[in-house]
Amino acid sequence: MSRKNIEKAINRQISEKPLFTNSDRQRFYEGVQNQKRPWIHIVPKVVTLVITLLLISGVTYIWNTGNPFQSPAADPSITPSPPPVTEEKEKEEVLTVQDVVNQIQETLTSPFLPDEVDESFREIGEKIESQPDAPYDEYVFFKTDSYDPQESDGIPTIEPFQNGDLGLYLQIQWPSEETGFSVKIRYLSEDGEQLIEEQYAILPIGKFLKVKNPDQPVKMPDLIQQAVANSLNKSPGSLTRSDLLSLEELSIDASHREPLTIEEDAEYLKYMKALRILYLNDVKISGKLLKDLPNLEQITFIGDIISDFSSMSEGLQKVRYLNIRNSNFDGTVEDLLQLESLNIVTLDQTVIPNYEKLQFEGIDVRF
Amino acid sequence: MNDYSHQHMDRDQAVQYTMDHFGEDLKRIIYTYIKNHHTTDDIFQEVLLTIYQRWQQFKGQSSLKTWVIRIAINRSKDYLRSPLHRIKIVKDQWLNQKKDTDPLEEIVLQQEKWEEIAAAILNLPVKYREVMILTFQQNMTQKEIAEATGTPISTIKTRMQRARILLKKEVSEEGWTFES
Repeated sequence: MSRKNIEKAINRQISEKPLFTNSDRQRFYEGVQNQKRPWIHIVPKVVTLVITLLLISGVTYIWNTGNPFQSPAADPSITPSPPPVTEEKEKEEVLTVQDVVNQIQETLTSPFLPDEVDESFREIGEKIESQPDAPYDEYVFFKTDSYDPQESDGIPTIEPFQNGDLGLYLQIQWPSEETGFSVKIRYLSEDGEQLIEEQYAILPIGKFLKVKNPDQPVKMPDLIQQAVANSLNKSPGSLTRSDLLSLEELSIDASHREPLTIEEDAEYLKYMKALRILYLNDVKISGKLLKDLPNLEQITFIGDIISDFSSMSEGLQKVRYLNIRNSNFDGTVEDLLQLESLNIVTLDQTVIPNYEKLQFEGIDVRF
Repeated sequence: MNDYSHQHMDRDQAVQYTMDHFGEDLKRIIYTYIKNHHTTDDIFQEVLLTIYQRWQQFKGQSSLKTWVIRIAINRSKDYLRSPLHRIKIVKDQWLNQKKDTDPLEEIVLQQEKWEEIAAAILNLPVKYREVMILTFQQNMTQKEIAEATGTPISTIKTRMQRARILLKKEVSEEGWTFES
């Protein structure tokens, strides 16, 4: 069944002409204007508010003065004592690091204006004066006088946090031609032993991803280390957990050497929480390992691929685009149908001649 | 425009963007539930108003398109559940009976096999119709459909299979062949 034909036929059945016209646009704006204009719509709300206020003030008056229907004579020896300051109220006024982390996360994951963000963070923290053309803003919170952000070289490490000189660090990277919008937060774990880093990028994951001890170097096989370094445009020797957390795309090419099999205890994969796009050329990886990449959306296999493809399905459940055209894929169309999120697949039709089953399930098949 | 920009739009811009980029798609989706152009116009206005009023609630957790489609689906289903719609069903059934008696129109309608399948899809019960429409007309994945309809993905898969069985019954064997 041709997906395009069905799509066109459905559209013809609905209407040959465009349904959305300028009159829809005009009607909406007129409706919104009319909603804004007449004050008559607000009258019931205002009346309800006035009645509610009267009731509240009446109840408050009775509460404070006693029953107005009883004798007003009161015992003069009893003087009203000031209301006790409750422990709860005191607690409310103490802002913790976690409170600010929550506030940052809430603010930066909702629609916001940069000026509003700046204002609200300056109220509780301090903005670091950076270069005027710097593509990011930095803020520090819970800072003592001993910590001078201008003296620290780059993003703060664990020391000022453990010394009690700094409670929280925030970096907001504003979008430019090279980079997108992203956020980094650093603070100390509850036990004070580890530094926590959280990273956020709006597209496409849209949530904060966390890593412990972000500055710790990560050991990887040379080929993968070089591939990660190329992707991040960094030196292979200086790669840290924080770097791996920011990695979105990775291409590992073992075609010029013996095929590479990624070991089952490859811990470094666990730090690649933001990895979305993966190209593997003569690289074998198991489904169990792919499960460690929670945001993997696109994967291309070239050359050697794991022989039992059905065992990979557990790690490919979030993959929307799969390219197996130039691989030695030996699975079946049923294996591909197991992939819940699969939207587009590029394959060799001589290897999977019954690819129409995929098309019927709404998967876009390309050759 | 990417989702970063979406989150920075105010509500006027959000509605403007929705109309510019998804206006036609949204009206077509609404029509597949309602099957009446006049009511589709009204519900489309409600959808725009909902986006305008609830724009602050859009957190970017799903794509903007999925979010607005979800609003359109919910508004359409609200209408289908309303007493007003039940009155209209009786009237539409009567009109359809009249239409069935027009053989020329019927022949024209069935000249193309795709038209036949498309018509059969539009006649499916709502829960099967929506998975087919969102798959074939909106090119959405099963996961996106699950998000847009607020239904578990396993249910979406089951509905897709049942929709296929129902369609096979409705459409002639000739019209239901697989072609690339």
